[in-house]
Amino acid sequence: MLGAVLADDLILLCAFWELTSLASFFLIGYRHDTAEARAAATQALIVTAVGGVAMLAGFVLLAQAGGSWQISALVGKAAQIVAGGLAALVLASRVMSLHQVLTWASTGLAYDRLYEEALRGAKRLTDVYLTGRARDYYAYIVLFAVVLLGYGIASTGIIIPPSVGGVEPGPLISVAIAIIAALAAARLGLLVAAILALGVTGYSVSVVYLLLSAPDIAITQAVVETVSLILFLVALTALARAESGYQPRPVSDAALAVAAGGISIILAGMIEAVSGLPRISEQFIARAGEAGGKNIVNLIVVDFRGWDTMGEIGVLAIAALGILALAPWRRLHPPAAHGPRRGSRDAPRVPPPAEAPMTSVILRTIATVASPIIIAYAVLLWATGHYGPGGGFVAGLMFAAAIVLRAEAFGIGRLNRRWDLLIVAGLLLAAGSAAVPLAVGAPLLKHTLVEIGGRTFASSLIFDLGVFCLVAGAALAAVCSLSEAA
Amino acid sequence: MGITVALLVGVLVATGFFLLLGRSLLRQIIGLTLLSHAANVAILLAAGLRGRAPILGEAPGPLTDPLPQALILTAIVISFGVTAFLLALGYRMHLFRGNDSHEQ
Repeated sequence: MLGAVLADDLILLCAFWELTSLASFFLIGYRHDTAEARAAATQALIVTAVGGVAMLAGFVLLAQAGGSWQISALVGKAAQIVAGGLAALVLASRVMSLHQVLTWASTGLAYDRLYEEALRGAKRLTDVYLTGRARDYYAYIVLFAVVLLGYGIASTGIIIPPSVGGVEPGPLISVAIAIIAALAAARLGLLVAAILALGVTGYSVSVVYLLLSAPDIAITQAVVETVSLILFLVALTALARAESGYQPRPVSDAALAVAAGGISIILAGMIEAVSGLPRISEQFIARAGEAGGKNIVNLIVVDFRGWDTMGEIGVLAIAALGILALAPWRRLHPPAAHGPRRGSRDAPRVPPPAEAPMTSVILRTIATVASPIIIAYAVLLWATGHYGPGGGFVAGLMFAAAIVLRAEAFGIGRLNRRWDLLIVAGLLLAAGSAAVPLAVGAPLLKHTLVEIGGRTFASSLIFDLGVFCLVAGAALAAVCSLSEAA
Repeated sequence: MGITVALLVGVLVATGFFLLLGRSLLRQIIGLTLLSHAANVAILLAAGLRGRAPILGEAPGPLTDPLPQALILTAIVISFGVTAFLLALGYRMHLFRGNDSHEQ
């Protein structure tokens, strides 16, 4: 509220305004266990959000008329704006009186008429357009994008074909495998086969990255693929009873998908043409020495563009904490006879099933030997990220993979730890190391080089340790929560 | 080389959208994962396909653009987080509805 009063920028004012509507949403829905409070809160949110959008539209008009987004600057031009606004008002009233849409006998009546008309219109729209099925909405979006992009390409006639020369056998083979696997993932009827095909796609995309001079994203993709393959298989176990088998699909779906793919090939050619333009990265490469490293990709992530990374690990933390919030499955699991009972908090907790470790001696032996090595390698990847492929993101994921491997071998109960604390610790570590430079008057996230025992260390290593902890915690929270469901 | 990578982008987009337009929630999440691969590979195309890995002091020659790679790196991890969240959401929905196809 204070921000809304003090903001001098129209966009900022709008942002603060939306924050207050969010706050009022939570306030109205305080007693969230009653359906009325939830309905009232939703209604309030919809009303204020629609009002907020209208206000934003008004601000855009205001800024157009006044030529500035600063309220202080706009006040000076008040006369000009008021004149513009009056003109618009006069015009609007003329239009209304011409059409005689509403009877202006009383405001209440007018409101009722308007409301009825809006309802009738919405109903008509609903029947044709709003089917209530998410996949129809996806189809609209894809169709809209295809038509718009297709029209754009056709009307301008600008097509930049992708480069044809320089095809090497290595990338060609991995691209071919990725294409075949992606087609298999789309067409295979057996869900577990589709998931494995997705894994093959991910690993071959990782090989494509490696062969196209991008080792950092290649190892990250490979480790992410491993952990998400586990997640998908665990989710499959949890959802196995729900899967209704492969159903035939209408030709229109395939046609739409092929059209989108075709447009994407044309766009990919245009994207490739961008690589010939002057690049902003030259200064990153030139200033790598200042940041104390050689691996430019890692330097961008933890140092040059640290703010972006801060936001991204924030997103990851929110996603992981969201999973943990969704996770107490057993409390929510409805008894079959009673049907779903939403939000019943007093349901007795079913004790977890007895741990049944996998009987495979081979897996247990491998896990015993391999997981310490993987953890050590993860730490190494974090520590040397400045100099070679690595860094906090891939290191955290690799650490999580090692823990999951142990859990697979010795019983999933070993995963049951407070991973939320690791996530929060990582976030605090990253945010804390970002804030330390403020104490000496330097900007946020300004990293320095520290000399300890004749060796130089970059302070961004601490920031990267925060990333490490957060990513590891997030991945483990996800695997832990979903395997609890399985 | 660009033509083969562009073809990969096209196939990933087509298969991703095809799965997204289906009924099964798990298949839709697979489709989203394919779409994020497509976006990442397309961004890599913006880095150009010539030049060596952006790590200083290894071999002479021009470096490939590191910025798109940094973008992809975080995008990979975030799409992993979103996928995990969707899977958890799907399971929660299954508990309430009794099946994973989210039709009304």
